[in-house]
Amino acid sequence: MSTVSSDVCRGPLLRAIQIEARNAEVYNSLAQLFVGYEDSVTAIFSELAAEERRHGMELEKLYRERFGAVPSPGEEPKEVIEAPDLEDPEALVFDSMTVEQALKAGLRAEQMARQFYSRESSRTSDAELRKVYRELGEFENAHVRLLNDRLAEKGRAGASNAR
Amino acid sequence: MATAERILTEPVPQEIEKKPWRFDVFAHLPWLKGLVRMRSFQFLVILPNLFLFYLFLIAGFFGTPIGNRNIIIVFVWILWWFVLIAVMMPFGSRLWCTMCPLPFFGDWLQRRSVVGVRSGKSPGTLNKFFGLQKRWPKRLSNIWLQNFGFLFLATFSALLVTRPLVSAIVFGVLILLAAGMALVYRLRTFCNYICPISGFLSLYAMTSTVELRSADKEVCLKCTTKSCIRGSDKGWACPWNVYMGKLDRNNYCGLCFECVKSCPNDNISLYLRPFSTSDVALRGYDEVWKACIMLMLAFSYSIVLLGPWGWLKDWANISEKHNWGGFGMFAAGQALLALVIFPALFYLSIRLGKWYARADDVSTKELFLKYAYMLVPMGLLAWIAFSVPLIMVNGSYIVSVASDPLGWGMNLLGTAEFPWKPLWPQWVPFAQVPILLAGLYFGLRGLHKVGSQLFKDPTQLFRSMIPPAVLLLGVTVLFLKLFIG
Repeated sequence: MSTVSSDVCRGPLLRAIQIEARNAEVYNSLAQLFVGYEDSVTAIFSELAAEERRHGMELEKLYRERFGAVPSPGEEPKEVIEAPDLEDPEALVFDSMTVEQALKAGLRAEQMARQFYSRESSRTSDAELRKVYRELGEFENAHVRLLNDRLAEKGRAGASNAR
Repeated sequence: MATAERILTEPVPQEIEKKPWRFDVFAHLPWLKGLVRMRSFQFLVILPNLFLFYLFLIAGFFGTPIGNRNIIIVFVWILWWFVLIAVMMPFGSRLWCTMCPLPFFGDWLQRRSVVGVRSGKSPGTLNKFFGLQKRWPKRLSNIWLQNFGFLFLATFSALLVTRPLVSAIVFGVLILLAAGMALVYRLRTFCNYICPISGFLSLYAMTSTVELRSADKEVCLKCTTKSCIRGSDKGWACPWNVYMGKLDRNNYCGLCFECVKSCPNDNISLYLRPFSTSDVALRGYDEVWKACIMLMLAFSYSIVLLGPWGWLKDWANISEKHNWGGFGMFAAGQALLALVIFPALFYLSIRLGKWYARADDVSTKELFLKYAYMLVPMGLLAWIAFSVPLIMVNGSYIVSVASDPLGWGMNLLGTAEFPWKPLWPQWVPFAQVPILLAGLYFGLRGLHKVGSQLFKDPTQLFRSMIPPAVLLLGVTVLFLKLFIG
């Protein structure tokens, strides 16, 4: 890997690490928000926070293997890339938040990230950078699959309860 | 799996939806932003009302029992009501909630502070609150109690708006209830689910020319603390429990401006916008019934007070006539009209519209909820039209009562003997008719707007709109008949 190319690849990986760390904090805030309202929602958001932290650690490991020590985070990326959020601003007014909605919030964020990396990978002419974007996209794809499985599981549980 | 698949095929929002014109007030008036960011801001605007409220209670309990000589009746049911419905609602959203004294003691007990903010931890927030901090029951987390509460109070309005003691008791109960609930439940549970005034404020705030929103929703997406709803050391967690990051309607924003103080990104601003154009989504049946109840109460009051039927007036006037049988008939009729007959007519218009438009891909429920928006601007403007004669005919009482608030023969400002003098009563219908027609216009425009979101085919849209539009027109004609005879 040439120095120039390494520098080009270093940025996106660092940014991905930063995003995972930020999202872990966001999920943690969302989990705390539902304490005493919907404990199952709190549990899901806490789980997603832990998952983001785990992803962050995996990415840090990847970074260390390629570039050495992970530097302290710089400025927040301007693009949103991946951001879990409450879809319903009145969810607490109507006490209407469900586990399914929490999972969907996570899924939307992961889809957003997958789409971003896929777009960036098709845009770049640098082969090595493209490889990094693909890896990151694959990473997000794994999260999407995980959340889809959880949603499907939830759907099946709901259907069997309905029966 | 079907749900997950649907999610995967949905486009991921890459940009924030384009909003209609809005004017950033805080950007142009930074001093106003500085003012609302002051920790003492809300206390300072509540304080005068708290003194007035105290005076009203004194007047209610110890002042003259003659309604038009007592400040609680004249200032609350003539002045305050008119300013609230005709000025604050359309031009200030829930500005009344900013200065309402009813939850003051509850907030104080819950926060143990009138101005300062305390960081710490309470369920769901990053502030330390006191009291039991219980969760309000999920099945009551809607505005049905407010609907029934307002209908109940409105049924006894003849007592409420003529008897100072009754008004004082009702307000006293509300303030005690607000305080008691703050000790048991979290945040502004009283305001969100119980306060009968808050119920209609939430509905009509949708039309207002003012909104408090996040300036850049992407900033909220990236915000890790969500301080607007969780609080911080700068501001209390949103007492109304709304999340500013995605807020898109005024209904449950009580304009306390705590989020302006707590936002770490300085991303909350006050905006001006055109009347009745932005928030057009009713969320549930409770809100639709609120719209029906409010419109029908304006109609019922107009029939009783402006109609030619003296017997009906006597039935409603339990305060003087004491005809409990007649009053029971009036109360049952009014409740039936507001809760059953009008919603049924509206439902019928929706079914007809759906059938005529061959709208098989849109559910009746969706059409019912969305098209109900037409009742919101119509209801507000019908109430304004109804309230115009209140202030024009009885406004002179304000001048005399200001000098003698308790009716004890005082003359504080030298205006106690100011005679009752209706203000241009002959012009009242000329004010009412355009207001009512504006209600029809904004109702139809709202109907078209929500319809356009549902139907891409103009013919289908037009056909789906016809029956509810005819219903709205019918209501307008009946109001006009009552107003101009």
